[in-house]
Amino acid sequence: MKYIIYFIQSLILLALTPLFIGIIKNFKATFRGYKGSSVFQPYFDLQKLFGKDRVISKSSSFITAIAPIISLSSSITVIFLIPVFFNAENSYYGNLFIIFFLLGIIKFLSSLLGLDSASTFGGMGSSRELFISMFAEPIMFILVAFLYLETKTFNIFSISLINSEGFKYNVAHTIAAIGFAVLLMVENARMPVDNPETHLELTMIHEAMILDISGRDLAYMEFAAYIKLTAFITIFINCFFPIGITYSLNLSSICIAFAIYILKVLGVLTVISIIESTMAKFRLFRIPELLSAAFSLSLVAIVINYF
Amino acid sequence: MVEVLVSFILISGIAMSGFRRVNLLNRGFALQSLSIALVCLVKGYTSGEYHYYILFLLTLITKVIIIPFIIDRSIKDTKKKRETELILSGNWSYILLGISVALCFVFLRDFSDYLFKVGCILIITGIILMMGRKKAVTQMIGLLTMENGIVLFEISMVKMGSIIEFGIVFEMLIMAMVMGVMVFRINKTFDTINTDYLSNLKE
Repeated sequence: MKYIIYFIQSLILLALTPLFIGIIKNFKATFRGYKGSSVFQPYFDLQKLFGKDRVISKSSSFITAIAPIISLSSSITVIFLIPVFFNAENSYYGNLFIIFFLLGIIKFLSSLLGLDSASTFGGMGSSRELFISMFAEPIMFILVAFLYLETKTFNIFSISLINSEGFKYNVAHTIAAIGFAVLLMVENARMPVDNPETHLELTMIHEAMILDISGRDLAYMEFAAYIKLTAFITIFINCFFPIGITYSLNLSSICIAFAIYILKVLGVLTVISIIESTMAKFRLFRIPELLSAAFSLSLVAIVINYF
Repeated sequence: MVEVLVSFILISGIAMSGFRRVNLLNRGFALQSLSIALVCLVKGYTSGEYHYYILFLLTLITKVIIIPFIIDRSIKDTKKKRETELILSGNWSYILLGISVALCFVFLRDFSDYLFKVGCILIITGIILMMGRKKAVTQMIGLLTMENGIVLFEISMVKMGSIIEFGIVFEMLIMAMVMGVMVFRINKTFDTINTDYLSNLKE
């Protein structure tokens, strides 16, 4: 029974993903003082792109043919491996390393995709993406190690269940949560690192790699990026603030847990849109400073947890 | 509740160690002082001793309102908004502070009180700000951060009388004022607030 609910909650999350992106865009428009597009606009964009044929450059290899669909499939797999609002124990899947490596596949394939069509923008984007992820990966693994030292398990279902019991927001937990929030912004190419709105600017990172694909392939890559953001937000909420997640099969408690989950996601989206509309993008060589601050925070979290 | 405030103090300390813009350093200092004031309030509420309330009020008035205002004025007067030539770069400041926090927690593992350890960490932050930067305003903020660490020592370790708390707070206020004037004078004499030029005074 509980595996059916796991499946259904992941399907709901998958269906809500473009809505979250629309909410971010709408919030940002509201903060800047103009009337934004509808929150359902990403659905229409994806529908339009899915209706088009694929156009592939003559100089590209098989990577361009397979990379978008593999990125999308690995991101969808991640959605089905994480708890959303219902969480009873699960010993079959849910290892954090598998989740983060599946998310790493997207990064790997999109940097190959940038290099593949031999355009100058794509190669620049790939080199920048790998430059940033070189600093971001150690932070991710230090935070996974922190979660292991805190709960003695690598399984995200058990981590979320252990952290949801009681009020345990001590010093180490809060600091690690701040470190993960920085990681969330960096990994998803959000504002202090990369501007997700610009096109054809010399500073772009994520958009530069997918500049050469169009039509259905573009829809696959965009949808994979959306799902990656949603998966990161869900992992953040369920590892660090899982209060309100339910483990009973009662329908009313599941509804309450769903409402609490939506409220928490809206809170995170509000914070992201406030940061994006108030901060300017960093210069590329200032980004390691942000990441070394996050590294320092996660190191401190481990040490405080241990002593 | 105290633990969340302590984590805010620690996060502001770590963040301040690498900032370049003096405005941001000033805001971080105000946030840190506000957290310390709230720690005093919570401690006073739980222990029921009145001198914590006095320290809360003094910290709130001097360190959250007056001293950031003085720093703000001296930034506006001198028009030096950011640190350009660092002795210790931002990356290395963060990593050095992370390692020193780790060492602090290792050496002080017998103390159960967080405030004592965080006081040590704020003193190290102040040292990094004073030694790794050249601008006078940044060094002033480093000294004030060290003072914040001493206040945390004071509320964690020993029970001093109110007169010593008054002493610490007013010393700090006077120091901030004097340093504000000094920064203005240095800027007027040398057209810069880089403290390297002070060695020209030897002749």
